[in-house]
Amino acid sequence: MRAMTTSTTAKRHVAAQGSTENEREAGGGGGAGRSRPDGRTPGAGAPRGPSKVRAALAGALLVALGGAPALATPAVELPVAKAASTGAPGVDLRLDGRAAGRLLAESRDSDASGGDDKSKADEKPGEKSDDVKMTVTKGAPPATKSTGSDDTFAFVKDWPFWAIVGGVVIVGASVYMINRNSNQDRSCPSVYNAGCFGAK
Amino acid sequence: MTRKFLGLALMGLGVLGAGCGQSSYFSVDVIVGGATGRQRNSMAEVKSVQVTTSGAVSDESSFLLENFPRSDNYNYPTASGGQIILGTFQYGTTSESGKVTFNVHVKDGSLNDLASGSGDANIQSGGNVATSVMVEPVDSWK
Repeated sequence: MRAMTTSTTAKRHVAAQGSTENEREAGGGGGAGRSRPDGRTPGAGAPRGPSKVRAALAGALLVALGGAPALATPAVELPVAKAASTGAPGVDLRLDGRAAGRLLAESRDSDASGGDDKSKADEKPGEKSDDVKMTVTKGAPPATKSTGSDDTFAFVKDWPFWAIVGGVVIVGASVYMINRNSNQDRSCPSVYNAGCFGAK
Repeated sequence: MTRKFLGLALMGLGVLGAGCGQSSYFSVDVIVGGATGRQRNSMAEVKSVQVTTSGAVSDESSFLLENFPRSDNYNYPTASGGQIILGTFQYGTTSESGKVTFNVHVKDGSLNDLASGSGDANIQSGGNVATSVMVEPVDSWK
């Protein structure tokens, strides 16, 4: 009996249509189609499904909601997005509000921690995550300056050239001054009473 | 490029330093030989002394000694044996090695030779070599 089966594949947000299944049943909007054969309803005291089923449901919710916040999921039958898109029949989750909230919380937790760890663990060493994007441009390198005849004296535009020129000028002037001072006309000592000649 | 600049700098320094020759000196005593060289009154005839250098010279090679003629009361020093030292001069050369020869001519007022002689000495780089040139009086000055 699927009186409330709703396919919401086009919606990423599942709006609240009622707080509990009992309310819906009382309002008559959803009818009484959620009762199980054993007469129990999947309310607060209903036993939960197997853990594999819950994991599948969490994955389905994650895929269907795409990380968007679910406002409320009171007994809404959430289809599997992939299945719905491919035309496969949806799965009646038969969740009440608390179960749906718990599944959403678990799915979020898995997104925040487990999912990342798993995805990281699945990555091969050396691979980079999708967040890091590298752009490698292949092809000819940028065109360099043409080495024409004008570049023959391009070194004069560099500061080391002028630094060396300045150093040479300073050192040359220093050597010249020292040499000149050392070779100044010396006063001829008085012992040379006939004078001093030749090189100074 | 840097090596090229460095080479140019070193070459420039080498060119600048090429003229930094070191001078060597000689202290030359001109001594009058013979008996005339012991007679102070004979020195009054000396009016000039011309020196010509040859060998490892770098500068002037011919010059006249200064302070000639001497004053009448000039006190000539004497060398060993009482020979009169007519004068002492210094001569410099930038040559690093070799021999310098000094030719000395003592002249009177008419530029006639009264005495002449020569001597040589080896260069001691950066040093001062003391040497002497003995001039022998000509017959007319004896």
